[in-house]
Amino acid sequence: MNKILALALNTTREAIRNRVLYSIIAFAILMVGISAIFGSASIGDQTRYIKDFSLMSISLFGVIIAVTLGVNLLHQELSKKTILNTLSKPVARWQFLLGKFFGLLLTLSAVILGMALGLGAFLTLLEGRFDSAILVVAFASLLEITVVIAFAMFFSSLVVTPTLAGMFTIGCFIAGRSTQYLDYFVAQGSSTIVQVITQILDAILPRLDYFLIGDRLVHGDTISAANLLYLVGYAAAYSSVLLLVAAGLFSRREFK
Amino acid sequence: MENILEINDLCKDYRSDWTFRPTRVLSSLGFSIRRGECFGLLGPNGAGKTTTFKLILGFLRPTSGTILFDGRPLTAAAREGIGFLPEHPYFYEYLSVDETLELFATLYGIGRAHRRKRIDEVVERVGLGHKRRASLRSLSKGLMQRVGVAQAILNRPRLLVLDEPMSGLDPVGRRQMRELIREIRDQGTSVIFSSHILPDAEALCERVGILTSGQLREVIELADHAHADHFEIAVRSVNGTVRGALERLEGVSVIEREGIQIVHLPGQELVDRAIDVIREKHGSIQSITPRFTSLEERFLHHVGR
Repeated sequence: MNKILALALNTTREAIRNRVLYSIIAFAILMVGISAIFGSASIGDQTRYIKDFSLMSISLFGVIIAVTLGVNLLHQELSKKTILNTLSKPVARWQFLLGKFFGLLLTLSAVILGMALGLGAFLTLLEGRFDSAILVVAFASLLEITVVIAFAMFFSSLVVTPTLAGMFTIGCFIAGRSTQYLDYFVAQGSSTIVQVITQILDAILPRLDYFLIGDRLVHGDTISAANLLYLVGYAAAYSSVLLLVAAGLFSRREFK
Repeated sequence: MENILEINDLCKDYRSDWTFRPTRVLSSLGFSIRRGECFGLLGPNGAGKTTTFKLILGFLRPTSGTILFDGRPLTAAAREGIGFLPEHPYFYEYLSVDETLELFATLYGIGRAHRRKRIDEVVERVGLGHKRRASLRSLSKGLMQRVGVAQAILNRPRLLVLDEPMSGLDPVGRRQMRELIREIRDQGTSVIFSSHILPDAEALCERVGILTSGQLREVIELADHAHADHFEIAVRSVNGTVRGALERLEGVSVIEREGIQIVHLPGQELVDRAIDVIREKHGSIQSITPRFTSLEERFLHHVGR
């Protein structure tokens, strides 16, 4: 456990010292700022507009950071050969992979929390009260990002180039966000083959749309603790399966 | 068990990414490292030295053959007793010397209570005390090599694997590295290092293995190597009878050089017999010269140049 923690903290340190991370965060803050400007000019509920746009920005930029850093984690270790030093120690490859995963998750937790608290503070100035729903939405975004990081690790273990791993990860993210539309094909009563393909895709693809709770909370709805717990369980289970397969693939890999 | 590492009939094939055709890069490799010895794996570039080390450390899987460390197959846990310095010691450049050693000490499973003390010891031992807080990207090649050695000996390894440890070092750096390796070996750690710099191997090793084209050609005991392996006797007044009698001894050849017959003897056991023959036939011995085949000559013989 100590070894995984040490690798995770090192991954976090690497991310913190990576300029790409700051560029993306700066851009995310810029987007939130723009939303505030547009929000103040909008007719109707100004803060709701800001919340909608800002929470979407936090989620989207979280995913961008997860994909950008996630697919490069293993690639950089391999191309710079730093992995040889680490794996020459009594460290199993699955421990290395988990260390990288948790390190990036820790980084993104800090980034998402920071941006959510920043947004919360800004809205407190406008509304005069802190809206805790922002933190719940940010937490759901983080759960979705957990699955995206697991996909990035999985594809990094499978393919050699980070570009390809990134494209596959983004593809799975888009497919996961759109899984709800598969129900449409089932409801339409399409041909048997389409139905079978739809059912297979429905079983394999992640239901990332489950994590999109921002709309509901911004419009005053609530989310039960049981529902939130289900989301935690779903993200943990889906990520675990991906990481298990990734660890299997990674343990077979040779470092020439 | 006398040997810390045993490699038996080790083969490695690489497969082409496109045609999947195998290319053999290591062929029936077999040697062992004795406890406390320094073993040099010598060979030209592309001989298979780094591939051998990658197999020892589990970065590659053998196509066939076995590697035993302390009598047991190598696993991730067994690497607790091994230290490794790669050819180009790439580390996380965003870390400082201290942070790097802290990370690797944790990965070696050194408990928090002993970690700091051990880091202090190795930092002093490799002479990095003044650079502890320096970022790795600011260090010279020589200092990076010292960080490499420091991280490799953190765990007090029973076997130290050094891939081209003198590579890229200036003469002073090479000398310091040699002294460091000797000191580590003298404290009981078995060392295997690869090199194509023969004087380094001669200065440090008890034995060397010559590897070319993925095959181990010869293992040489450098202690034996200090003894002459052939002799030359210069003889005057040699008539046809003496020359004929000498040439009847197995492996002996005679050539004439400036009026003197040079008798070439391939082993010490023939010297007494040749002297007896010469005296019997009333020849006059001018000199007996022991001859050595240098490590370089043997190396070049195997390399084929």
